[in-house]
Amino acid sequence: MLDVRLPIGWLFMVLGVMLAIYGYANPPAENMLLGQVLLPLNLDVPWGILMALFGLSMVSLAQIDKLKTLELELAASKAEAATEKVSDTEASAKG
Amino acid sequence: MKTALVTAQPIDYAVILIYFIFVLGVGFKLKKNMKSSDDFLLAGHRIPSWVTGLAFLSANLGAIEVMGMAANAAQYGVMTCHFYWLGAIPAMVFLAVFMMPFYYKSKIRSVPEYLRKRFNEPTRALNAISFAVMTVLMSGINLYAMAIVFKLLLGWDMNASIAVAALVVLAYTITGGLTSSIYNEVLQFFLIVFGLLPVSILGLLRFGSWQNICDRFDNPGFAHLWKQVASGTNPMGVDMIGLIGGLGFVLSFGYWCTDFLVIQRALAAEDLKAARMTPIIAAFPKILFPILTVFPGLIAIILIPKLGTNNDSLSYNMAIPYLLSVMYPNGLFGLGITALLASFMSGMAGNVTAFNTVWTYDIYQSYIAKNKSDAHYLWMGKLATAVGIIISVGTCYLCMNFKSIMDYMQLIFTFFNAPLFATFLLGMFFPRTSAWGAFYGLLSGTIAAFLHYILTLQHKLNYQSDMAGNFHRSVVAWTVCLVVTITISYLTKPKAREELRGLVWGIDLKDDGTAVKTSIFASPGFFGVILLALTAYLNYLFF
Repeated sequence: MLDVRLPIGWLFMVLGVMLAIYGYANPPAENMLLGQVLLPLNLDVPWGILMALFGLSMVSLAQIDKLKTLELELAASKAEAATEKVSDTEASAKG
Repeated sequence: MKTALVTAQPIDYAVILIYFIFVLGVGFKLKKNMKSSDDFLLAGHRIPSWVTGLAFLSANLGAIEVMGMAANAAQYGVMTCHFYWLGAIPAMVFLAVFMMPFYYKSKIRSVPEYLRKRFNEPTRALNAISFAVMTVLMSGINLYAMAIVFKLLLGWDMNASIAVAALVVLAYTITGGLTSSIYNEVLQFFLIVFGLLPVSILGLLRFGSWQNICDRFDNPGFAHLWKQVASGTNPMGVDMIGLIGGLGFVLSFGYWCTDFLVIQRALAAEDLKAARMTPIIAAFPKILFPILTVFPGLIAIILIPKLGTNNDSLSYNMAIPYLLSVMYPNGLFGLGITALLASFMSGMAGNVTAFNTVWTYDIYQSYIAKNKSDAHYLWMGKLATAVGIIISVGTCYLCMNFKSIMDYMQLIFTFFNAPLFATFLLGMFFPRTSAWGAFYGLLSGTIAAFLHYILTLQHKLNYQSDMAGNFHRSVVAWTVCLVVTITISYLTKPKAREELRGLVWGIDLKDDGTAVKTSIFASPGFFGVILLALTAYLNYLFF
């Protein structure tokens, strides 16, 4: 079944990159106005990068888990094949 | 129509559009896994605990939580945190440690089904019908809140935004069932965090420190949880009995421990351990959620002193949407709007996926069409999803008549969840509780809540606020249910001890040798103690 970390990861990567590029290309005309105070912050850029990194980590975690599962399955099938081989040899020796 | 508060740019619409594409994509990707009614309605019992834990939290993170809690904070101050630290964490720990083993081990598909096993058919029918009514009454709230926000922020037509959101929810729940709903709830959890956290960060940067924020409150009691409760002069109008007995005990335990909407997420977990850890995993972020909801409400009332002066663009409910429009640059504004949209849609999907399960298994399969094929019940589950969404659209217009969405929701809880918690408490921990005792207890508790509401409407019972009335009503409904259940239980025959195996505390299932011993440091009880200690510390900090 679909690993939920994949859609989350890809969504955040796409949105994060979009936000960062948009923020970089279109800096706000005036700095963030908060009440009476101006903050020198173009928030889209750092927040976009943070989101993209979060997305990347989600996708990576999902991929690592997928690889681990594949390795385990491979090891299990190898062990199964080895057992079959041993039992075949024993059977032919008895025969 | 009101003019929009902020001009949305194409980038903001692009963010919303991409979110819609992903949400629908998840539903269609999961479609091929929906082979049986169990896959569709119960997510096939194969979801890991961190996913069910975040879904458990997010199913409750709809319109009420995000807009309602910020609105309450702007109106009542830090006292709003009682809904988290008093009204949620202890109940979530109790569910994980004491109640979840009964729910999960008895292999029930829904909360009403537990009532059938523990008591009898009529008790199950009563609960199934009242729950079905309650969920559709609740899910409309989300659509309504969403339509209001989009009308005021972006100038969108209310009917059009209701229709679009309902269609998107329909598309992803009908294709991917409960799994799709759970996946989108987890997606929404992260969207809410990333979409709303900058409000709190910018708020803190703006004022420098918590002390500077407290200094700006007109009412110094706004910075305290308990200081004004004892004197009875707090803006919420609640007293100790209402707060501790009503919110802290009856309403909170009634919601978190018996509401199938949240229990269903834990039951979808892959094993008992994952099911018990579900509320625990949800409780850790829940403790910190006031940073995303209550804190912005407090910032809003300082930055926008006019808040609350009308019931439209400056209503308390607009605290967070308003902050998004004044604090965020375009781009981030789209993200904030998407976070709100996601919370409304998944709040609605949560209700609809709980409704379709209870309808299909507890009403349709039990009383209308028994012994049909599984394909038939899968079809019925899908039909119930569509009908649930259509009824939600209807109830959305119903809650437009209520002054506050929070009061509307708590009112519905007092009718159904408050007495039900007494039934569960007695059913799970008191073997003498008889089937008919439970039935008549539950019925009289609900009737008592209705009567109490009518007396309040006629001003024969008066409370300082609607909220205080709801807290007291819940205590009345719970007590009536408790007393009637115990009385009738002693007058009627209890179930045989053998029939209660695995359903009642102290009468365990026969050990099949499959139980896995876990370290005490990995047990829900251990994490529960940590959670309660943290909660106690926060109460002390903001006393």
